[in-house]
Amino acid sequence: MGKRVYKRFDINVPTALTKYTQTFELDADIVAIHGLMVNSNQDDQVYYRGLLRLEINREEIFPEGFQAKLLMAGMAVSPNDRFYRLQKEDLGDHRIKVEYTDEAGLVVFSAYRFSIYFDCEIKE
Amino acid sequence: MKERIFIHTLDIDWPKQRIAFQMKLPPNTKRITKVFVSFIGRSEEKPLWGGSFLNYSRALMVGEIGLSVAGTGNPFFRDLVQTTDQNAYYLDSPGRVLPLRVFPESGLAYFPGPQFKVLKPYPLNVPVANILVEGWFQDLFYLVEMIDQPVDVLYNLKVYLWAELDENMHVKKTEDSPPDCEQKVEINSLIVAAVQN
Repeated sequence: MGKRVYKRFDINVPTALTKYTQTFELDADIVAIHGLMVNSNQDDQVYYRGLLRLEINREEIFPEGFQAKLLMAGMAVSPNDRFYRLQKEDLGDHRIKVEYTDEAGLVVFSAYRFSIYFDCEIKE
Repeated sequence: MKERIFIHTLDIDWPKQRIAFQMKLPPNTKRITKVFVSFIGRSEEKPLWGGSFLNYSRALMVGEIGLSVAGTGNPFFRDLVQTTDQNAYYLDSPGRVLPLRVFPESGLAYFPGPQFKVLKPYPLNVPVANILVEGWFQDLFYLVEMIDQPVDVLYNLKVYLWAELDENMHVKKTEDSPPDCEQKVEINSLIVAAVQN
C-alpha cells in the first residue's frame, strides 16, 4: 500500500442554470483513486442545485444528471466516512473530466464554489 | 464486466399521485447490482423562510416505490421513500411558497443537516433477461392530511440503477437505443466505410 494523498479541484459557479466543464490532471505518480467527496463554500447550493457528471480516464463514473448531494457528507460524519468508495486503479492519462450543472432548486442562487476531493494513492 | 449507472427522474406534482415508468437498459446488461432512490423538493420560486415549522420524531415518508424486470411480475425492489434530506415544503395559497422544514428530533439542525452521509446504494443481484425495467411510484404524503388545507406537493425522485454490462458483447447503435445506452462502434461498418473511401 502506497502513501495516501488528497487532491482537491474547484469549479467556480458564478451564474445560475449553467453547465461548467473542466478537465483536471492528476500527478503522474498517483497510481489509484480510492474515493471521492464533494464539498462547497455554500453546502446548500450544491445540495439542492448541483448535478454532476464525472469521467476518469474517459470512463464514465457518474452519468449526466447524477445529484452532487449524494457525494456530500455532513459535519457530524466521521472524516473517514465522508468519502464515496471508488476503487479506480486504471488511471490511464490521469485526466479527470468534471461536468457540473447548476439547476433550479429549493434555495435561491448565489455564486459559490464547487469542490471535489479525491483520496489518492501515490507510488512510494 | 463493467458497471454503469442509469438514472430516471420522476416529477411529482400533486398529493396521492401515482406514476408508472420504464427504464430501458442496454442490451448487453447482465445484472442489476445496486439501487438507490433519492428525494428532493423542487421549487421554481424563491422560498420565503419563516414559514411553518414542524418537529418530527421520525423521518417523513413520502411514498412507495416498486421496480421489476419486465415480464417477471415480481418486484426486485420495493421500498418506502422518505425525505432523506429532511426538507419539504408546501403551497398555502396560489403563487406563494412557504417552506415547511422538517427537522429531526434533536431540533434545529445545520442546514441541510449534519448527519447526512454519502451515497450508500442498496445491493442487489438481479439477473436481467429483459432490458426493460418497469417501475411505479405512489405518493403517500401523509403530511398533506395533517395540515388540513389545500396544498401542492412538488418534488423529484431520482431512481439510480447500477448495472453490470458485458463488455465483450457489441451493441449495434439504433435510433431506439436509449441515450445513455452503452454504444460501441461496429468494426464491420468502419471497414465498409474505409473500403468505400
